[in-house]
Amino acid sequence: MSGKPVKVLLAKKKIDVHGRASKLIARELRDAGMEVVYFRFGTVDEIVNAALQEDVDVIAVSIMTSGHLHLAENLVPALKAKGMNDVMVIFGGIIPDVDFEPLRKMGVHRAFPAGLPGSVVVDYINANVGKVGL
Amino acid sequence: MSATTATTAPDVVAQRVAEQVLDGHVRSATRLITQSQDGDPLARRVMSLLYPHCGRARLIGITGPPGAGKSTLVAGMIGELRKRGLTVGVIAVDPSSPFSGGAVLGDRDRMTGFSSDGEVFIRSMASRGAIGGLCAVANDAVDVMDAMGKDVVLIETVGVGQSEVEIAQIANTVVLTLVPGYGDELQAMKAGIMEAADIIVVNKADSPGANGAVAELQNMGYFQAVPQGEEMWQVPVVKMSALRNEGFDELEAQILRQSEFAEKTGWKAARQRRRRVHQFAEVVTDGVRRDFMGVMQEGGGFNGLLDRIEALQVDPYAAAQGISRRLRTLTKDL
Ligand SMILES: Nc1nc2c(ncn2[C@@H]2O[C@H](COP(=O)(O)OP(=O)(O)O)[C@@H](O)[C@H]2O)c(=O)[nH]1
Ligand SMILES: [Mg+2]
Repeated sequence: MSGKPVKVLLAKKKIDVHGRASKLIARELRDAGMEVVYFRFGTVDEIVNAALQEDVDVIAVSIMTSGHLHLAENLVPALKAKGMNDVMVIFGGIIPDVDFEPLRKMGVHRAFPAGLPGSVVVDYINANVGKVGL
Repeated sequence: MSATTATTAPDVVAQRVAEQVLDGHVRSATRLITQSQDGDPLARRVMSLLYPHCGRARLIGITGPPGAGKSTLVAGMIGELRKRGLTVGVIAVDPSSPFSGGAVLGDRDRMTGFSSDGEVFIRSMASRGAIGGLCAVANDAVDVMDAMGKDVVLIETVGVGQSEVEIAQIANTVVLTLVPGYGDELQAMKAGIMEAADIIVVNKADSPGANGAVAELQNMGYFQAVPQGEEMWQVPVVKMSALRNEGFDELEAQILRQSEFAEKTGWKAARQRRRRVHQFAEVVTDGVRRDFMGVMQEGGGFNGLLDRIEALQVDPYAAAQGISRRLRTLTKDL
């Protein structure tokens, strides 16, 4: 994998008005050499379809309002149904700590709280991309 | 490589992938595009198998300065084409950062609303900065969508550099998208961009100055010379508001008119030939370059030639002449 840029689908909820955080993380991932498809979604199907068509290594979902548990519950099985078992799924944003474990159980590889330096996400992706599965 | 040799495993894999792509399988197609971009040898095998199935799709290039509304325009075109029952592929190229090599690909975000439509396949790509290389990759991506059976392939590129202009020229029709007050942007773009345009769109006609811009561009009178024959193609100027969904009928009419003209005059065939000749030349020169660099990296030294260049005994130009001469003899015998 080394040398080939990691491709990330950065999916941000359409109704989340705060676009700043996701745009910032998009830039940080780019500055770390990643190719970031920035994309606002309304439904789980839109994420799945975009991930499929774009052939991404990572799906990073940015959530600034609630709904992350419901989303993860639907997203992971939908990805598996399309045969995308080798994609990394991470969540970031305003997510209470108590939800980290349930998210992990649903198949989300890692959840990041808001306000984290982008380098933490970058390091996690670089260390685990291609090694995790759903 | 030849059909007579025993089938090896990679050939079986390539055959299977090719069949899936021909069947319109999105996952196989998009992976193939990635592999082609990553220089995976398997991709080359598959592309060879797909090549005879190419040439059916209508290719439309959308180029212009950043923010002109290209992606919004593409989204509108997808909608129009789908209304007519045509299947659509989109290749959206955005520049890679020269510093980090990374990229933010924002085109797809403007093209939402088709996720439940299996006949629309949108693929973003980073330019990765390689001159020539970008064109090679775009050629492959277009061929993959063509072989999948997409009726129309839309190629969006930012009209800022030479390679982007070249990509636009892969298309049968190049639509240059400008906005009122385009003057400064034209200056920032590659001078050749106007020469690449078959149709000019003045987008954002909902903002002031659109009529003036259209009149100005019409007065300048851009033409495209057709290889044989005296007839010239006068580049039409179409006023649009992609955001308000206005002007798409006129754009479609002009694209059809240009296609008919290009077909009738032999322009289309000439352009297709130019695309393939150009592609071939790129591949050959790229291969020669890579082989040459490979020999040098392995410390080949060309019988001490490199040592003598280093010791200032032979100058690089004189040394290169010898190699060029041998290459020429070689290619003449082909
Ligand atoms: N006012 C106006 N804005 C437009 C129009 N078309 C696109 N835009 C806006 O221009 C911005 C850039 O559009 P985009 O399609 O991403 O441009 P691109 O960079 O050329 O692909 C977005 O905010 C669009 O909503 C239009 O016809 N009128
Ligand atoms: Mg765009």
